[in-house]
Amino acid sequence: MKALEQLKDTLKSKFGGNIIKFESPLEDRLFVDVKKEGVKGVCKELFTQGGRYLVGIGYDNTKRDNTLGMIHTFAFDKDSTVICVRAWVPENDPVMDSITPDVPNAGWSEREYMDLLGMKFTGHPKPKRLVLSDDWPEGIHPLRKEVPYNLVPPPAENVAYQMDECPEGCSVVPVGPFHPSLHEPNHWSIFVDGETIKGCDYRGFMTHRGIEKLCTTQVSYNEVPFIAERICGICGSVHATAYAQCVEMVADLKISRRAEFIRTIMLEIERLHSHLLWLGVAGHLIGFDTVFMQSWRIREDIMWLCEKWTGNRKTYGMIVVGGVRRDITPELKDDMLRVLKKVEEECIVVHKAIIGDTTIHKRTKGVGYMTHEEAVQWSIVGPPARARGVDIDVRRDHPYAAYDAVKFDVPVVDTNDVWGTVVVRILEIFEAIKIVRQALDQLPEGKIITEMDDVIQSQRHAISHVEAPRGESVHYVISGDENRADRWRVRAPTYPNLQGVPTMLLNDQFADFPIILGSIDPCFSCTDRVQVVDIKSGKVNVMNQRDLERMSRRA
Amino acid sequence: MSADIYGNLLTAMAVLLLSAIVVPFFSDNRKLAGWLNFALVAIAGIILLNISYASIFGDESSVFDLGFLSLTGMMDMSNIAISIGSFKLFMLLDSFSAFFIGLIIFMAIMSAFYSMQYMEHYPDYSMKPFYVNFPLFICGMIGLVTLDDLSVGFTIAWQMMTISSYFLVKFEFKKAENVKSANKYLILMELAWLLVVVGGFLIKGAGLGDSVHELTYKLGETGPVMTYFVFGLILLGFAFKAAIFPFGQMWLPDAHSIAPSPISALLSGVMIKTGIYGIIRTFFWMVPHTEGAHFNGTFWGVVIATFGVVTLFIGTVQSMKQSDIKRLLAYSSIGQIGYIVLAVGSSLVMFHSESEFVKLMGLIAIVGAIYHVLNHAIFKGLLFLSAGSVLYATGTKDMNKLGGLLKVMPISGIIAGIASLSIAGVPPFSGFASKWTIISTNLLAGSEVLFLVVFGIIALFTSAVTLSCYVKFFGLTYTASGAEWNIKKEIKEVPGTMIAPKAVLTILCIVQGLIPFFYYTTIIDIFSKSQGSIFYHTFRTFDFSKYLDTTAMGVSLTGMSGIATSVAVPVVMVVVFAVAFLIAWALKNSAGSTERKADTWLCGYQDLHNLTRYKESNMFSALKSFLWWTGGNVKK
Amino acid sequence: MEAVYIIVNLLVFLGLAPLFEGIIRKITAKVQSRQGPPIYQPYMDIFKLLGKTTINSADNWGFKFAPMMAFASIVSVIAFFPLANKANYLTQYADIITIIYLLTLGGIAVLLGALSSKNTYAMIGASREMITMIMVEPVLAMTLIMGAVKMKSLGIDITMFSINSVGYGWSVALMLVVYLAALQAFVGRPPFDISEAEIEILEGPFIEYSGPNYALFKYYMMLKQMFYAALFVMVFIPFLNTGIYIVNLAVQIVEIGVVFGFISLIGSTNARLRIDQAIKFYSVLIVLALCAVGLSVYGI
Repeated sequence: MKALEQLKDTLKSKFGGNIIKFESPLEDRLFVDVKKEGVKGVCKELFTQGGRYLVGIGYDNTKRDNTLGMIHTFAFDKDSTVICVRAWVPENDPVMDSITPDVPNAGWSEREYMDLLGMKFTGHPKPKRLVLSDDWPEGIHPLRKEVPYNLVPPPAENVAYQMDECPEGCSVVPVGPFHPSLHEPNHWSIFVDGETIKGCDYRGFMTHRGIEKLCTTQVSYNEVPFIAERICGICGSVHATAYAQCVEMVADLKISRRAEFIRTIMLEIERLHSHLLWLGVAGHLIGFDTVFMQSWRIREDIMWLCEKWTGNRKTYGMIVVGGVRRDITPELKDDMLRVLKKVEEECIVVHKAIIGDTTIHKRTKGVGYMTHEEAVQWSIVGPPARARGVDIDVRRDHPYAAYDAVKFDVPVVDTNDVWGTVVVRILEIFEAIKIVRQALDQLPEGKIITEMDDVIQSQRHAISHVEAPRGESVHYVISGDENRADRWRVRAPTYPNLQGVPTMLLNDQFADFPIILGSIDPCFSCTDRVQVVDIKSGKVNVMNQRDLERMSRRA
Repeated sequence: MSADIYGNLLTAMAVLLLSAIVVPFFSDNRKLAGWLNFALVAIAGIILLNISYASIFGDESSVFDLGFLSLTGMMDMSNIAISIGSFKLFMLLDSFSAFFIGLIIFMAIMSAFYSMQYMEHYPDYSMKPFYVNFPLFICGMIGLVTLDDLSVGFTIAWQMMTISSYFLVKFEFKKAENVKSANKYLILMELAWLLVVVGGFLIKGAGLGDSVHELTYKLGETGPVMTYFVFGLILLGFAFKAAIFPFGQMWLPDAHSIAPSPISALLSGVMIKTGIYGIIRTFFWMVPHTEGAHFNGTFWGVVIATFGVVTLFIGTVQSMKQSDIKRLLAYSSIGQIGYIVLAVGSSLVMFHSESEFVKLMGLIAIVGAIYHVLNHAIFKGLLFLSAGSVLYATGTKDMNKLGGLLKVMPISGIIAGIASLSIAGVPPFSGFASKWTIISTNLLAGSEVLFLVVFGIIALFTSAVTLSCYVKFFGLTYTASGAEWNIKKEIKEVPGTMIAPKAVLTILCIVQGLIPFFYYTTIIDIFSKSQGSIFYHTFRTFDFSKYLDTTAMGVSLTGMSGIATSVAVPVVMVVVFAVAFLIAWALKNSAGSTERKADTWLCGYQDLHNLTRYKESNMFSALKSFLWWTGGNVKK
Repeated sequence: MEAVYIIVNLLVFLGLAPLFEGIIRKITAKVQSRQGPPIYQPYMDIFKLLGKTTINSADNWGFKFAPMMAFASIVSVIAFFPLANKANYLTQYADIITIIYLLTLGGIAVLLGALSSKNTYAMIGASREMITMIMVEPVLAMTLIMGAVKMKSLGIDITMFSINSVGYGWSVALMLVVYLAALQAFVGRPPFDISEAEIEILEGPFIEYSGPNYALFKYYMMLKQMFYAALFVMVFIPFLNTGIYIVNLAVQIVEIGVVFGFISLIGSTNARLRIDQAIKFYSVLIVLALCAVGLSVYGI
């Protein structure tokens, strides 16, 4: 950890007066407590040193010392380290310098706490409402501890978010919340000149319902993984794993090796299904429905496998704090190997077909262009970053679970466009298959769940990140009393990537909007951290395939 | 032609001159001056229309006997000239010029009637210059198509037309850019005049005031190089007037878009046609046919047709790029002139061909050209009047700000729709019949002359572009949305006095489309009555009835060996379409579906408002950028 | 008696167009490893739409007029069409230029409806539809003009059956390739379903349409695609002309079915192009078609 020491020295020498203390609970984690005046300088320094901005975490600390906390986190991928810059501002004057001018990706994090905690960031380039709905009353900040989790303020009419000004001579094409290229509700104002996109504004968080608030007020540590899993319908295990790892860190819990391997297998199988799903969606977004149908057909085997293993096609409920819930039996292992073989064969065919298809080339090459430098600047993660020559992968750079035991390549291309993303994601399918095979091969014996005996100390901080299929998910936990977290922050990969989308869209054709947005595989519910529950009728109506077909024919 | 006709012609011109002197005195009383102007133009108009009718249909007995008012005394009928001492101002009034006279004066009457109400929305400007110049302008145009020389008479008429129209174009002189455009117009028209006059003087032994007939004779003795120069310069001069690419682009869009709309209607509808008149007179009449004359008909035909095809393509594509209604119409005028010029040029080529089949096509092509002159005058005049109505009602002609007028101005909207369909060449409206003639003759003759088929295909392609211009014009002005946010005042339907002339023109658009055969025979008549042209004898002796059939008032060309080659029967199309429409209507109502209203749906977050609507500047952007090299998108 | 053939024309087209649409859906489904809807689904779609509520968001007559105009224009074209190599009573009253303009009228109707509906997406769709019309219409025109040049005639039947009398040549072969390449654009199928592009502009021109209005538009699209397939059969596959009307009709319907198979295969194996890319593609087609016409002037 030589580099880390050097960095510490630099910070000390440059900002000595503003730094309160350094703390390193784990060897790859460094917490730097700074005075609020020092935040801007320290963050700028870390960013210029090559730190990749992860997320900002704001929390209500009023009960203890009447402050609001703000934590900016940076990943140093080469050194496998995460540095968290913690600062506090008094509750009655919650003003802090904005780091967004230097670290553009911090824009949303800061806006989020303007909404949720009532903090103020001086110098923020776009201090507009981000998370709260249009008619949410001013002055109520839901993440403050005194606001009840189930507060429902009265709805208001005639309040609308003011979208950004449209450039002269352009028209606005409103996209969403109900639009076929958006699979979840959110709104884009696309400014077009003819069909060329000249800018856009985003209004999302339309289904924000406050999972974080819920889980820090109503449930206990052990129940959260199942809720975390429901943050996203695609990469649920990723969130559960990231959360569980955080809690294991604050509890100093070491889980069994077998559980780590099973988590690895679970995550990679989830990646397989997600990549195939995305490939299908991408095909659909460029009007190539055959790709859509075929890759989903291939994916079906994986869904079947998961159902056999966990009882569910999706939302497996596998990951718990301390391990996993279901073991891998020898029979299941055989099934897995068989399915993997089949999927691999079929993916080779798909891969060849896609590489050879001229229309796909035409629709994706040079589309969604974003340079390597911009990708770094915006802290883009996952396949969109790797398509722009940013060689990052949490599995390799910050190994967790059993990724240290398996060998795999991280495909990186530098086409800087959507085509690169397609290539990266297809190649990752083969890498994922490789990883599962190795993990199954090396699977050690042992128990799958480790019980936690001690009570978790309050006010311990932990950050954990997991490579989701579409990028990197970051979870931050501050432990609390009453057997539940005091603050839990989730950052899905879409959160940073979506902020980079306007750059990708610029000067592209409107027809490319779906695939450019689709290329980051946006998961708005992850970003919004919501869950949709139908409560109108309690009746459960199970329909079989025949019923569904009949319905679609004679409606 | 009898003396009466010339006498009456001079009388009518005198009435117009009188109007220019008298009416301005009443210009402070706008209503009275308007009516007076219209009345005098109408009086001249009736006389002229009568002359026109008599000459075209050869019914000289129907010429009015104006008695002492007829200025027959001024005419030296032995030479057909106005004698001023020893100097003679030659005149020529045959069916061909009578056709143009009729066209000019008819549009002038419509325009004068429309102006009465329309000019009300210029309260800041004195009407004096308008009432001085309006009759002079008409008189100048009539002079241009009747005076028969290339020096003195030509100059008088040309200058009268040019200078008066210059003041009309400059009507809104308080806007600096208008004055600039008008000045440009004046300078280029003077240049055009110079080109023609110099061209005329290059003829060996040409003297001041020589009639065209004499010039033709002298041309036969002019050397080969000089002959090319003569025709080249005259073509160039008239090309400026007729707004052929690239000369038209220099002045026409600016001048036509800033002039008051009824004047624009005259400028685009008839004035630029005087250029066509000049070209046809030059290349079909002023052709030396003596031994050893150096006139290469095929060469000039190819040149003119090439000019035509380039003009029609470039002009129309440029029109597609415009946001300003009147600029769109102005550029489109260039495009439509291209069709006419193409037909004139290809007719010349075809007529000089060896093949009988192609020769026949040449005859039909020139008929198509004249037919299109007529149609274009009507529908382009109508379109400019429609644009005027929009300007009158809303105060703007920027399509980015307009939209949804159909609901508030339904009659104007339907009229504009019919005019748009006409110019776009949709059957059964008038543009279809003439464009069909031009394109089909080119295609058929193209079976023996390759480049003609290419020209025909370009013309066909361009008619789709024309369609896009007018889909845009109609769609974004009358349907779609926008005016409700951008126009501050209350928009009302224009008054009846403005609708009336438009309604007349609309009916003509339909009639001219429905019975092409009548116009065919009339135009063939015109050519077979106008002596001196290169195909005068052919038209006289050719038995058209063998090749031109009429079925239900439509036209069908029958080829040399008895095969039906081409037909256009708008009436049948109307009937078939009507039946099909009934089927559609029955189908639509077959299940008794009910209707409910809803708001425009834009994905659920934003409503349709001024920013979220798709503006003109966005339309066809991909095509605009693909055709960037045609230029013409310069916005002031 | 020749009037009977008009009725047959209409019956064949109105009756079979949805069936061929169903065939396209079925073949596409097979390519995509799906079951697919039953082959009679398009009939059901039309019946269902005819009975549904019309939602009128435009509030002007253009919006209501457009679907009927589109339908009427394509029905008119069909009435003039010499199906089964048999010119009917009406064929002599129109020529190919009329046919081209009447087909264009259908396009105008779609645009009128789109622009009248005020919807931004419809306007984008209209803009694209117009561009497509401008760029592919010449290909259609030149296919017919090639026959016209050979026969020195613009008559519908004479032009369309030109290959019967002058035979195949390089120009015809070239034009055949061009026509096939443009076919997807004529019928608005991938990769040229740009103006409807469900995923970006939500069926473009038709976004505000519902109920019987939409049924008419749908029927119009089906008839249009059947017309283009039939035109291909008529112009380029003249070999199986037996001289017996019924046999000809049966043979041609089968051939049209084959063309539809081709359409659906191409349609299901390509991504949708962008309009700017499509323009470039069309312009190449136009140049090639011009070459074909040029060759045919020289009798090649």
